[in-house]
Amino acid sequence: MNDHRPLTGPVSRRDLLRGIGAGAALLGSGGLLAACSSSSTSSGAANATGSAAAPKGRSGTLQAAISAEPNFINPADALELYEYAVVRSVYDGLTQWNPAYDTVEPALALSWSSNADATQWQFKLRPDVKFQDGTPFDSTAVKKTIQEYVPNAWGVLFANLKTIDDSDPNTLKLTFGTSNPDLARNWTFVKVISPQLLASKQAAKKAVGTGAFQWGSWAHGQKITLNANPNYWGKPQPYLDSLVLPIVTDETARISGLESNSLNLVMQVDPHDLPALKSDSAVGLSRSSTWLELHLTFRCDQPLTSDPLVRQAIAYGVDRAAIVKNVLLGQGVVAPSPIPVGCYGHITPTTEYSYNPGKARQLLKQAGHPNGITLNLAGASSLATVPLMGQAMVAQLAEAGIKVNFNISEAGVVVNDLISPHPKHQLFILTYGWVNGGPFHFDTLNVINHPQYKGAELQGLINTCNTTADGPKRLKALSDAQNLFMQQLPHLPLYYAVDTDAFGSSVHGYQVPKDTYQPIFGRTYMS
Amino acid sequence: MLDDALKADAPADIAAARSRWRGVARYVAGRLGQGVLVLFGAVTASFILVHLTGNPATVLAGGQLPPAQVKALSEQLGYNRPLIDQYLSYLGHAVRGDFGNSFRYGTGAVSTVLTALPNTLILIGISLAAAIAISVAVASASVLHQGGWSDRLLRPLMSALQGIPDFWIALILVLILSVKLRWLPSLGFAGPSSLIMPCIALTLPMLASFTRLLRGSLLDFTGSDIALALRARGLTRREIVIHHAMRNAMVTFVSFVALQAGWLVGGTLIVETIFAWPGIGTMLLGAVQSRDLTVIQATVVIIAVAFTLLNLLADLAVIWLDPRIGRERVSKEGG
Repeated sequence: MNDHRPLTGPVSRRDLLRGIGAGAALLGSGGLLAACSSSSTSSGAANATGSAAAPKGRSGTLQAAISAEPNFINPADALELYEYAVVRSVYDGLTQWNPAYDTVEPALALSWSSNADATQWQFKLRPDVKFQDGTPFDSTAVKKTIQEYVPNAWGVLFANLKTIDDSDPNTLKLTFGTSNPDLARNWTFVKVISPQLLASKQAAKKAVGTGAFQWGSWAHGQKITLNANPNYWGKPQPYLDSLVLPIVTDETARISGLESNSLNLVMQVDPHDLPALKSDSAVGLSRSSTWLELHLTFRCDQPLTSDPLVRQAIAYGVDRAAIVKNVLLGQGVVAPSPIPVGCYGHITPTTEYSYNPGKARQLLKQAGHPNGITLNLAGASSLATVPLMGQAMVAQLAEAGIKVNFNISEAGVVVNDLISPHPKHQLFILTYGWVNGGPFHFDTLNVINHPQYKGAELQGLINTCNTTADGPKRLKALSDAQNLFMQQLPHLPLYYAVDTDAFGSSVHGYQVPKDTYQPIFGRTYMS
Repeated sequence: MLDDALKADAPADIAAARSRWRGVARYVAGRLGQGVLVLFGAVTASFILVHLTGNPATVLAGGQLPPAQVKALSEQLGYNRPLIDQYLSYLGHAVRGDFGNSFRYGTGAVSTVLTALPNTLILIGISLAAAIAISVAVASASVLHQGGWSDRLLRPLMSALQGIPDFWIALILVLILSVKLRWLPSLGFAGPSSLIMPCIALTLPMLASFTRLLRGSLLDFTGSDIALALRARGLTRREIVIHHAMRNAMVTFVSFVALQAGWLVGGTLIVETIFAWPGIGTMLLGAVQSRDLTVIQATVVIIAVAFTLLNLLADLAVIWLDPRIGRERVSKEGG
């Protein structure tokens, strides 16, 4: 059966916000870091990424600071890194990423398959698994989780779901009205919640899953404590007795805490703090490029920015390499494509935009603006680097004859303007977290809907990407789509975020999550 | 005869004492009434502030909800009613100590604040006690050895301390005592050792202002005719300062300490943030960031209550310290 309808309908504000807010909050929580390479590295304390043998038993308590108090610990609503520190520790998905983040491997599902057009999926579930409250894990429990997800924030991951067959407790069958080629990847992000917890309507106050850690306590304003799950299916993990997440809102306080051994781990260290940490032999660093993409969105339905020549002129007028070097202190990777490196289907498109203000002026003249243009740029205050980035762009674009008025507002206000029929701004600095390691924002059509882009050819290509199962045909469509995307520029990819997490010398087995969101503490141990 | 004279005077003394205590009671009642007015003002101000930018439902939505959902939220929370209705309802609930539930935690806003308040009061209590004790000692020493080397050393030191902000002191303490020496924990409330650095950071700026005020008051007294008369009667300078000047200086000092204490209840935010101290400052910051309006309102009012109570206690202390002031106030205010 061929179905070329888009995977999802028009994107709701919720869908928009989930895509943007997930990345935005991460930036707000710790800043973005730059690296010169896209590979994961670790330095400082030895054995940081698990090269030393894991212990046979439990190895103590890890104190991993989070930058704010979670608003949501229900996986169906969670958005921020500091929320996922809880979610990923207590809950599991049907699938998970391998340590290299290049392969989806079994978790609560042992295997899975789909039909040719990815409208029907079957997951063989892991037997003899129980939730931390003793409830058995089975297909009915997964069904209840999906029913919790669908009306909530991350329901977009199950767009156009038609039926859930849980007749066999060890097999889950899902049928969609349109293709869902990324479902196996989506399950790395979706977490299975205890049906007993869902029934009690307490999922906002405590967490009960099948994960390596189980709920301990939540001292509001202070910390969240999780304890090792003695019945974890992934034995011998976890290697910790407990995981304590102190709420430390101030970055300086987190760094001081790490250096004074009050904390063992700090996530997403600000680039300005890195030089001091690098020189501290008692601190180790784990660094990785991530699937978080920052970009400049154009409102393609507005005067001036509706013209692809103007958008290309702006692209030539922004010196992304200088932004990465000077604003992010060299910690970021200039983005050649909207889809980050490591995500399914990423390519380096043939069209690239090196900084060239002369070329920008030429394109503006060609577009009928020989005397330059004036535009309004919006950025969210929740993104730590946005103010400097915006100022840099203002100065750079001025060289290209483009006068930019830069305004910073709260994230919600920026988003409101982005989707307003009469926006005050034509340019927006935004983030996309490609949360499933695939073409997530193609699936959701955010890349088209946010800029109000109407070009039929690109829309058609993205539709093909969304309705084709993984394989050579889909990769070809993704390649074509990215190439056309970079010519048409509904948005200009700026850079992919590079995260650096810092940890004390007693911490081993920890690695920065490439997906940006889900720190994994099950493999971590203390010496 | 003397006994008879004394006996004859006793009823008059008792009557005078009774009259005074009645006056004090009326005075206290008057002060409590004023306190109620202050709290009424604080409750009203907290209501106005939340509505200053328009419908609070819009603030809560943070620009993230479509107009229809904002309207629904507004109806759900009662923000669509006429303002006067909302105000009277708010006032009625505030009198009962009910500011609604925290949007974030789902628990009562007042209980959320009261959970954090003791942690802040511990910091304030210890810091104030230390600042008072040290400032009394330092000011006394400075006055007793006026012009001496200790006085010449202490005065510029106090001036310097007064200019140093508490957050700077906090950061330096963390750098030296936690990061470099690893003597003390830098975060959270893990035991008595966690109190040391935040209390020092709060104490030192207060110490400077307390010492300067007290020293000035002591010097005023020691330069007065009363002190001259006491010297003429054979009292030593030490006796004059400790037994006479200090009591006189305490009147102003106590009022100033009460003001400082009231300020501290809401003014420890930066120090609490640096030390991740689970007090009212940290809680208020989180409430502002997450737009937890009910908790913000409850915090404003609770801080106002604390301020009012502290000032009342200071007034009572002043009456006890100087009965003349008490009598004057009593007679002025209908005692």
